[in-house]
Amino acid sequence: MRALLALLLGVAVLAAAAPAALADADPPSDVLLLQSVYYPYQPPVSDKLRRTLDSVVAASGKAGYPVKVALVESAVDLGAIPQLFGKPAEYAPFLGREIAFKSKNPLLVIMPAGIATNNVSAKAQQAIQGIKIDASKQSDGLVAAAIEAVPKMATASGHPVAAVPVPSSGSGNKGGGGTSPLIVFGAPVLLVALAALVAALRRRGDDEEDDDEDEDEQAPAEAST
Amino acid sequence: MPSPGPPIGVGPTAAYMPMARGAPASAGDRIGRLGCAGESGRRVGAHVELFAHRRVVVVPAGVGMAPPLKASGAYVRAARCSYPVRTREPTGLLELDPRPGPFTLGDLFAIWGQPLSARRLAGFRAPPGTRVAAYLDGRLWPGDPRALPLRRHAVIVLELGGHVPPHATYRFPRGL
Repeated sequence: MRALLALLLGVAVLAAAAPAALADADPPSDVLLLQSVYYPYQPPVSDKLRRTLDSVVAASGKAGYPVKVALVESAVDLGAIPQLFGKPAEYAPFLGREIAFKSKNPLLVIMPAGIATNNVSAKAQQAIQGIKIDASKQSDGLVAAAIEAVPKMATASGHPVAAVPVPSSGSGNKGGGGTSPLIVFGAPVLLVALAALVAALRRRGDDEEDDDEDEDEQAPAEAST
Repeated sequence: MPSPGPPIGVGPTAAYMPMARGAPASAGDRIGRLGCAGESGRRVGAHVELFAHRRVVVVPAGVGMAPPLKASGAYVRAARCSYPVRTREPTGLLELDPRPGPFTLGDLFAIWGQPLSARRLAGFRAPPGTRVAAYLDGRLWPGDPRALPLRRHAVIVLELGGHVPPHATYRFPRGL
């Protein structure tokens, strides 16, 4: 009887420990078979940062370090395995095994919670220890961290790649020329116009105050038609 | 939410990475009741994952999109015309134009130009004595896999030649 109970207990423990589902429905695993960088769905990455990271990754490949990069901004980027969002150290080996059938590329995974790697040397790992992720910049913050990380990983692995400055993105773009003159001069004009409109509406409200009761009585009849 | 378990990769042969379309879809011809048209209104998402012999079969980008295509890496950005069921990325994410619906999984495979039956799944045949197993939202679909409804946020898993515990949910991108 004891042996039977022990067996049942063992089966129950194994069942509880077994994974509930095998999965392969995380978009990076499919996309990285065909290109070197997986970019997040939302928010979209700025074009300038995307071009810079693509060129850095291409330069790394030419230097003999064909790195794959997965940028995971939200659980949506993980499709059917959102439980790994926020856990880059768990997701990196998982993703590495999914895409390993073609070749065992070095892999860099960046989430707002941190950076993790798979199939990289200890030196490469060490080289990116100090990189900070600006999570407030969302997807662009992940790309900026990758632009910094890839040359460091490649160089530390014996494949020198020149570091590239991270371009500013969005409203911080120097090419934009600062605040638009339309905003500088247009905003006060708009405020004055709004104030005038409010004042005019108030005057009109005072004039029509006497008629309000009649309108209220008619309103239900209009609504019922 | 439990651990996702051991990862599964794409299978090693060309059959695991089938082409995105056959001749009718390449020409933009009518396929059954479904035509190929210019960009329409809002689309909704569904997800399909395929396994053969416990390895992933890729659902490619560009299913239901007639060339010439505008591609960017793994993604197809634009096409001459699109069918009401299409893929723009190789992740199994389907984009459905709900207006000419409802659709079935048979519609997807007809547009894709790949076989689907109780014994066939794309370029694979079920081993003797076995059938294609279909799951909708994690539950076994007992009927013909072609009749499986393709509706908004349907999560579909098809398997042949070995069991892979199916996932029941999928995080869809905003707007789908």
